[in-house]
Amino acid sequence: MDGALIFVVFIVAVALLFDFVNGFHDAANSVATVVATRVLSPGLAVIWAAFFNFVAAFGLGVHVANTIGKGIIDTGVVDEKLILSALIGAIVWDIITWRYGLPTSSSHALIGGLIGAAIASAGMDAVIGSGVRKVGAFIVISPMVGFIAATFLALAILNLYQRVAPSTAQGVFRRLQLLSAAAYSLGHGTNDAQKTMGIIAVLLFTTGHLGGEFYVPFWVVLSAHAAIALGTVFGGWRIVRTMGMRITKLEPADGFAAEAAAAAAILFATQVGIPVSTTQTISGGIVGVGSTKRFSAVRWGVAYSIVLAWVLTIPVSGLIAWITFHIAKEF
Amino acid sequence: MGGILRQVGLSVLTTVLAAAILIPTFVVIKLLMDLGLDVLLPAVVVFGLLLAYVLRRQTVGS
Repeated sequence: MDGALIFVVFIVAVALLFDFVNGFHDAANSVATVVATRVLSPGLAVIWAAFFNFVAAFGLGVHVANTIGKGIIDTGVVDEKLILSALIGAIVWDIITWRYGLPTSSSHALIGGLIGAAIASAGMDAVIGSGVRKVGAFIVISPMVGFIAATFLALAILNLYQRVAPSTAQGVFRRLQLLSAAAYSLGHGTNDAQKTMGIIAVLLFTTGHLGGEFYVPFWVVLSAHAAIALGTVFGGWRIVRTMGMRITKLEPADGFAAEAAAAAAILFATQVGIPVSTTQTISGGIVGVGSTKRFSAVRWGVAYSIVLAWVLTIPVSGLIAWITFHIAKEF
Repeated sequence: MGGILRQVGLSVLTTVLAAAILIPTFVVIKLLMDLGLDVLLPAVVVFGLLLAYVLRRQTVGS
């Protein structure tokens, strides 16, 4: 195996590690409510989420991977060092924000990394303005849509269950939560794994391993979904246990409405090829169901994290990638 | 037995209700998206803020 190929394999491994950490981190979002309401044990809940993370590989397309691969930056400027710099920009920013407890999105960090490394490589012309604009707009649109859809659904459920005994409603939503958690895991799996697929596919394309046409090979689809699912299995259960305890005030009906609305928003974004933050989308949903009870009691962390995404995540991860690229090109 | 049937019936009804709310919501969003981001972004933000304002007024004191 020659040196160039070993470098490509190494970058693919780093991209899959990024995906694994994503699953590790975000498992709690999809099954925390199921654990909190004791529908499933933490162990079973993460296996449930991981299963749907993985099966999302089949039949949900690669629109987001195409956007990441050829819709954000010009593929003509992409090389191994650019992709590695983008990944380092995203990973370093994720570690910094994890260390200081800042609620930011690894998806936005990855996009920032790509933009920063591309500017370092070929200047502003390497950035596809329309693609960045679309992704930027959805930083706001996606959680807002989660908020709106979850509010409507929560209000409809409140009306439908007005004359239903609380114990009957509990029984219904304990089971329905399994469905909504599965749908959310499916959305999380497909949207987030596709970001890694896009990175790997554009790397393979620009290094001549895909032939003349950009596409996402099926082995890339399978490995990205396997990585995110494994991340969910290996890391998720500890986080889920903590999250499950922290959100016990969320009733099963609320969990169902928030998850169903967020799942619909993420699956919609996936079908139109937009990479979105799955965490911010479900946070929008949770804010929605919370607002139908008492608006002032809602924690407005989601708004804070969106502002952080705009003001910090994309520029700072971009700056780290920009610096990394300038260092890397010296070697 | 009656209790279980009632729960099953309610589960089906709730699933249909969720579909009846979520599908039209996303059809509208797709239509707005087809009109362009310049329409979709302000429309979603303004509607979301309006909804938040209404919820705030309705839930004051609860």
